[in-house]
This record gives sequence, structure tokens and C-alpha cells, in this order.
Amino acid sequence: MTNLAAELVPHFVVSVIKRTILLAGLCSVIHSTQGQELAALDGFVTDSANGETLIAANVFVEGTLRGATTNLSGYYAVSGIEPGTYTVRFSYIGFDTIRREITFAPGESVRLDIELTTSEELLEAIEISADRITEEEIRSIGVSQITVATIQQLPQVFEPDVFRSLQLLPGVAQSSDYSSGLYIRGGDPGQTLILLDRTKIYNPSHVFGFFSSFNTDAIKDVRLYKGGFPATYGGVIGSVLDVQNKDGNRRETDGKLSVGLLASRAFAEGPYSRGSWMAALRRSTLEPLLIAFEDIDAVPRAFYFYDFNGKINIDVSRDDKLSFSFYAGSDYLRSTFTEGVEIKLLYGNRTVTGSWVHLWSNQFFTNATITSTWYESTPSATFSGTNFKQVNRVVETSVRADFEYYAGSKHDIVGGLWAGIFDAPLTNFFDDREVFHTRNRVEHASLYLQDTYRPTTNWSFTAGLRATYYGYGHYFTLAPRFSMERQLGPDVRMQASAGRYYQFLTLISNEVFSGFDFWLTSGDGVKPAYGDQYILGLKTNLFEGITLDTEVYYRTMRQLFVLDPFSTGLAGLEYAELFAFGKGAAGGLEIQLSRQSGRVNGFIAYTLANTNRYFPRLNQDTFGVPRSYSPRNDRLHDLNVVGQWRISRRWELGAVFTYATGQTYTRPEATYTVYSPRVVNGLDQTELLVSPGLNQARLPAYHRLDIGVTWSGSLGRFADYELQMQVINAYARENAWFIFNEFEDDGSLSRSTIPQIPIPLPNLSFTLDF
Amino acid sequence: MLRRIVFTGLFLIVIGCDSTDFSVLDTEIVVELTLVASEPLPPARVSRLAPADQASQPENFAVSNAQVILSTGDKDLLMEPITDKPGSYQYLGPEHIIRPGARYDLLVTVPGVETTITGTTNVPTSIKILTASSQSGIYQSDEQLTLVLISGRSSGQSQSSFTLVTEALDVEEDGMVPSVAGLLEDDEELTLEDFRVSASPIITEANFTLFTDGTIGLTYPWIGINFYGRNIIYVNALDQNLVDFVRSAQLQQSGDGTFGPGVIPNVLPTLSGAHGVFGSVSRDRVLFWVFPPEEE
Repeated sequence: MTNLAAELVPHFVVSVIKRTILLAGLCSVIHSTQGQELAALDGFVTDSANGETLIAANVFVEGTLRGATTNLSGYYAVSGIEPGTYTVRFSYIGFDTIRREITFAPGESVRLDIELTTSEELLEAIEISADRITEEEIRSIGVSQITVATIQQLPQVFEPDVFRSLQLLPGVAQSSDYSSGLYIRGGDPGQTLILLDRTKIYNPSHVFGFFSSFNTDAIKDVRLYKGGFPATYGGVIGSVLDVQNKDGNRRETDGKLSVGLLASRAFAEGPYSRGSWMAALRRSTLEPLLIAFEDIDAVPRAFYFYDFNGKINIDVSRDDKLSFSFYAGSDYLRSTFTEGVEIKLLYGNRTVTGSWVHLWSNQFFTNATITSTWYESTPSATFSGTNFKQVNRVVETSVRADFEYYAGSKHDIVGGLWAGIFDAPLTNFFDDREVFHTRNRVEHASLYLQDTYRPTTNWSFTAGLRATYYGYGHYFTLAPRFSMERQLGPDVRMQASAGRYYQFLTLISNEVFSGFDFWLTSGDGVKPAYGDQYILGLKTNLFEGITLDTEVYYRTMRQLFVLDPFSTGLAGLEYAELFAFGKGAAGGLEIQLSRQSGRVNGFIAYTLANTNRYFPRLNQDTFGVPRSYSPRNDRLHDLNVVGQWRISRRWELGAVFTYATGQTYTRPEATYTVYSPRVVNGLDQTELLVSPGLNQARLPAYHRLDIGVTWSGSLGRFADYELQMQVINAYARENAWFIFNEFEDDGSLSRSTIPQIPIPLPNLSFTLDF
Repeated sequence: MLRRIVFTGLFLIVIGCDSTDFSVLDTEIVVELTLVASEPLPPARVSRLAPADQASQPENFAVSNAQVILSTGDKDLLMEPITDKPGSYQYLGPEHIIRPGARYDLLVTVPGVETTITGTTNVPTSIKILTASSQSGIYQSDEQLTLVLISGRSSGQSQSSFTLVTEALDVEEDGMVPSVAGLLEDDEELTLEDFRVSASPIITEANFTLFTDGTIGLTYPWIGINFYGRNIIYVNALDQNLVDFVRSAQLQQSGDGTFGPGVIPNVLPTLSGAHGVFGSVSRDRVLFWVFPPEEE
């Protein structure tokens, strides 16, 4: 039987591939038959300095309004070109624009791989053509992007950080100075799908949530779909963060060393005979501080974090590219508070990704990926000889196959399959005995298909459908997505989208400390969460290089399931009894005014938003009547001003100013004391707080200014250097984090404000680039 | 046209904003009564909430003119105010022993308060410690105290919920276990009395060994011991009201769970129309001697 299967499986796979090729070929024939006179252009766009593929580079056939944007593999395809001679423009922000004159014969397909060169005059504003249509592609509805260079230059707490940079974008809120968690358009961090090289990462944090685990040396593209994301993505009701690792330098071997206050980094990349490679390592360097302050009880006995990113690219042929990428990151903490009391925590992620990109024709592009992601958190504690331990793991192996079919001048069709096995065992030990164990091992599969239809040059319609099967509970969902775009003038576009989204996982997290994070899934008696999103956008180019993007959104969150905080532990309960169920909604207006090039660049991001939750179990009055409430991340106004000023080739100034409405909190208005429960809780008296409901009050407004200066230069032919000096919270604003309530001896309640970073916090780093 | 679209969107968002609810507290009455199976009916207490920012002596908020009736199903027990204990109410009839497994309904009316306060508790069936593995043990040795017991459970509960309360009888400074001595040393505000009684969080029967005859094997963790010498260990089986109360009170006090910092839930209601608690417990106890480990 096994031998038979071994023989049949390759035949089946080959058969499927052949059928796919035939289908693609048939489509090409149909297309050719229907438009014999039309020509096509396709290829890859790369950086001439290092051979890195450029994502979202613009290709534009001047005089035709035909164009395209490179995909995540740096590939573009323009079809439906009338035969003739045209100037084709290739552009990417920060790179010199290239124009090529190409003559297209009837029915001809031209393959043109282009290398763009970094602009030699970075100090000058890049040329902005009158035809900006393809450059607008990057500003799709719901999408925000922040460049890695910007992330590395912004003043930040200790380390350049992807998540903290994203928190500056409109629609993205932070919970506190101490957390890098992403609260996007009213959603919780668990509502964002986080991908690194097409692989999910389940807890992308270091220092228990203080930083994200993405090393900025290793990544080349960060794209955030705040909402309204296409059918390509699924499994979450909120947003998608798609991060791409660098491929590695295909021209020469180079490297970088950085020394910072918290961590140091090493990076190397280079070519080899068949492609390129990249390796990046980051590790905390706090051990000397821990030793110096080891006499202080609160200082951990041991603490470190590290992460490693690696990638190997194999250019098998002109039309075949293989890549293998790896990620490993971990945090470890060991702390003792008094004799007999010790806490340990080890958590981290591992991912492996293998991808095969293949061009079947100039109209048919595929990307097949096998991924495996692993997350484990093992907090443990010993108190007076009694041991507590949790083993919490997520292992997911999946296959993903996506295709892009450029079906003539009016249709671009994408589709694909994403299937895998999600395995999440969670075990609690108390006093060295297993007291709880659950294992959600779930098979899941998604199929999606999406067509972008452009009936005229001014209109574009995209319709997609994503079908998902989720094994635990046998749920089958259909998620339609629609979007449209109308070119209202050379500088104005209107966009709209609507879609349904499903989510099968819930993140059980503590806002203060991500090291204990674990995931639970929908299942028997626990339906998947779902939500609808509606977005209306207006994208305009105001002046040369200055853009104004406005979006209005409304979204619902239904069948939300969270771990019931009132539950008496996990043991002995039916699966559905673990959860509290509820719903929520969010709406907002986002405005972003940007200048992405020139000596002075940056952006102003403003968000007007409202979000609420309704969990009957969590917020009810004395008569048991449930009430809605505002989560902590709800704030009416949120303003970020980000500016960078390149004074000269050696000096650059940066500043970030943030203003936000104060967060909600619960303000107890009354107290009472009961005595009789002493028989069960051992307390002579139990003092309790009463408030009108969760989060009925607000903290004072939050504002902060961070400034930084960068001094760069060259050490001859050996290396370039960069010294960054930054001050976080420059004017020492004592922003409130939360209010701590404590009973005094006379029974009154004292309220103390626990501050966020209360003092100007310096940051220093030195980087050698060789 | 565009301007109209933008302003329409902005207007819709602004009018759609659901501002934070600043409604007032729905009631200011507090009622408490905790019944212990097979023990006499204890007094009930009725009081009012104290403003959070003011000093609050319990007697200043006592309610002494309420009508408190506990119904056993076959008769109503009128609990009378105790004159020298403002806010306390006691049944003055023949001694009433709380019946394990029975249902009790509480009815409280307060003059000037329109709402009638009601509550129900289903007393857990009797809990009985059948055997104890030992009467004494060496602290943190592998030989832990193991109890075999018949679990108490309320009607409607899918499993028993326990707390373990340990009361030290030999409270002396040189008799403290090392971790507690360390805590006392680190915090000047703590006293020996603060450690005399310790209690576990709520534990469900699924945390212990379930035997085929329906009994439960419970291994007592050393973390419950604060003092060497004699310790009384109470095993409490809680009704659902006390489970809700204890768990939500712990959540409010310790701030653990998935609520963010500064997000404080109210205690889950166990009465309709009042704050406080109305619940019941079934309990049994065992005396256990703890000896310090021999010095190496």
C-alpha cells in the first residue's frame, strides 16, 4: 500500500502541474486569440547595488496609462499594450528613474529585467512625473508602509523597532511606552496576522513585549494592511503585517556591526555562484549591568534575548528561483525575589520557509511555499518548594501556493491555496503534577480567487472570495471581498472596499507582559469570530512629492471569544466554558500627509477613532445587565508628527511628536468591606471596589517628543560609520500609564498614577557598515 | 463632490461615536451572608457603599432598619437587627443548622430603596475527609500530606470547587518557613499575624486525583504552610456564588488575568439588587504537624 502510494503521489503531483500549465496555456491562447494585436512586458526589478528585488517598484508605459507594480518577489507584468514604440519608465522612491524605449510587435511578449540605481542626489527631491498612476499603486486602500531606512533613523527606545515605528501610522495605537503591541483600527494584537517571508509568527516580541523581534538589519520590506485586505490573506478579522527578509547582496560581500545600549547586532550578506545569502544576528548585551546591580533584589539573576535571521537564494534559472529562510529568536529570564522564590521564563519562535518562484509564461506567475513555525513559552516558578510550570507551544506546518495570472489588459487574476496543521498543546503543572492539558491539533485549508477588472483606465474593480475549512468544530467559511477605485483626476483617486473576515484563533495575552502569551482556537461550541469591514479612501497628490491620504473605516467584530478571566482555572471545564463571548465595533477617520523625499521629509498622521466592546460576562451591573465599554486602546484623537531633516551628507536630525487622547481606565467610585468570606479566603476582611463599569474614565492626554541626531562618515575604504544619539521623552512628560488603587488604614482609597517613561531617556548606538 | 464625501464620512464617524458610559452606580446597598453547611445560621450584614475617597468606618455605613428574611423552602427565617451591632441581623428563633445540599433564598428590603434584594444559594453537599496520609511531615519533603475525601457539590455545579485554608496555631517568629521569613524581612509593614492564615485560590476537582469510588485524592502543597508546628487545614467546597465572588474579588485585588493595567472589573453579582455576597460552603478540617527539615 505504501509503495503504491509512493508511486501514485508523484504521478498525481505531476498531473496537477501539467493540468495547471495546460490551463495557463489555454488561458494564454484564449487571451492571444482575443487580442492578437496586443503585446506584453514582464520581468524583475532589482537594486543594482546588491541585486535585491524591489517590492512595489513602478513600471509605466508612457502614453498608454498601462502600468504595474512589482509583487513581493519583485516581479511585474504589463499586458494589453498596443503594438508600437513606447518609453517604459521604471521608478522606485529613492532610486533613479530609468526609461527604456521598447518596440512591441503585435502579440510580442518582452521580458525585461531591470536594475535600478540608488539616486546619487538623495538630497534633492526625486523627480515626480506628471503621470503618477502607477506610483499610486503602493497607496492601495487600507495599506500603510514604512521604509526600513525610516525605521532605523527614527528616535526609538534603545533599539530600532518595526512595531514601534508602525505605531506612528494613522490607525495604529500603542498601549503604553512599555509595549510594542499593535492595536490597529480598534483591534487587539491577536487580530493581526504577522508574516515573515510568508510564514506566521505567533509571538514576535522581545523583552516580554517591549520590542518586536524583527531585526531591521535583516528585513527589506514592511507592509501593513490595516484593513480591507485582499482575499490573498485570511485567518484574522483585523489586519495583516507582511514582512520580507532581505535576499542578500548578489554583487559583493558586505556586513554591518552595531553596538547599542541594550543589544548589539551583526549582519553579513553576499553572493555565491548560484545566488545570494544573508545572515543577521542580534543579542542583548545586558550581562555587565546585571552583574553590576546583582545586589538589588529586583534585578534578574539572568536575562538575555537573541534573534537570528538567515536566507539563501538559489537562482535555478531565469524563470525559477528558490529561497530558504530561517528565523530563531528567544528570551530568557531568571529572577529570585527572596529565599525559596524563583521565577524562570523561556520563550521564543523558530521558523523555516522554503519557496519556489516560477514563471510559467509572461502571464502566469506562481509562488509555492512550505513553512513551519514553532513558538514555545515555558514560564515556571518555585515558591516554598512548590513548583508551578506551564508548557505552551504552537507548531504549525503549512503549504501555500499562489498564482498570478495577467489575463490581458483588463483582468489580473490571483488565486491560491493555503493549508496546514495547527498544533497547540498547553499543559499546566502544579506541584510537579500535570493539572491541565489541552491540545488543539487542527487541520485547516483555504482557497482563494480574486479578479481585478479594469474596464477603463479610470475604473478598477476587485472581487475576491476566500473559502476556509477549519477542522476543530468542522467550520466552513466563505469570505467575500470587494474593492473599487476611481481615478477622479490626475492627482486624485477615490477608493472603497468592503469585506468579511473570519478568525479561528484567539490570543490570550497580558498587555504588560507578552512572555505568557498563548493561543486558543475556535472549536466545539466556540464559533470562529468574524467581522465586516467598510473603508472609503481618498488619495491625493497635493504638490510635488507631497501626498495626502484620507480613509474612513467602520468595522464590526462578532463572536469574539476570549479566555474568561473569571474562570476558576482551566482544569475540568468543557472547552466552551473556557471562554467569555462578546462583540465589538470600531470606526474612524485617518489622515496622513507625507513627504517621502527631499532634505526634509516625514509625515503627519492623525486619527479620529472610536471603538467599543460588549462582553456580557465581563461588564455588568448589580442586576446582571451587561454594558458595553471602551477598551484601553480606544482614543478619540491620535496625532503623530514624524520629521527627518538631512542637514548635510554627515548630519541628520530626526524628531517624533505624539499626542493622543488619554486612555480609558476604571475609576472606582465607592468601596465596601465584607467579612463572612473569611472561611473560604482566609482574610479577616475583604475590601472591594465598585465602579459604574469598566473603563468609564480617562487618563490625562498623552504627549511626548523624541529627538535624535545621526552623524555619519567614512573610515576610508574600510567602512562607513554612523553614530546615533537620541533622547526619548525630551521634555520629561510624565504620561500616566494607569491608576493604582490602594486602601488606606482608615478605609479610604488612595489613587497613585503609575507613569510611563517619566524621564528623558538617552539612547546611543554606533554602526560600522563595511 | 470630493469635499462632500470627506465631510459626510467625517460627520458619520463623529455622530457614530459611542462615548464612554459615565452612568451612576446602580445601587448602594451591600448585603453579606455566608452559610456554612452543618453549622448554625450566622448573622447577616446590611450596609451602604462608602465613597471611595473618604475614610470609612463600617458602623457609619450600617443599615439597621432593613428586613432580612432567609427562606429554607419550608419556612421563612426572619433575621432581626442586633442592637449592639449596627447593620447585623440574626435569626432569634430556635437554632437553625444549615442543611447540606439544601437551597436557601434571601430576601432583603430596605426602607427608601425601591428594589427588593434577592439571592439564592445551593449549599454544597457535605465534604468529608476520609483519610489523611499522615498526621505530621517534614517541610518540603517528598512525603506530602495526601487527603482522601468525599467531595461536596452544589446542585447545578459540574464539578466541585475548593479552597484550602490553613491556619497556623504556633505563630512564632522563629517558626516561620524561610520564604515567609524573607517576605517579612523585606516588608516592614507586614506582621506575623498577616501570615497566620493562608488560603489557596480556587481549585477545581479536576486538579486532583479522582478515584473510581467517587472519592478525591488531594495532595496538599507545601506552599500553603507558613509556620512550622501545628496547622489546621480546612478543605472548603464552595457553591457557585462563592466561586464567583472569590474569583472576581481575587481578580480585582491582584489584577491578574487578561485585563490591562488599570482595568478593574466589579465583583460578579451574587445578589440581585445589591453588592456583597450571598453564598454557602461545606467544609472539613484536619490537624497537621509540620517539622523543619534537618540541617545538613
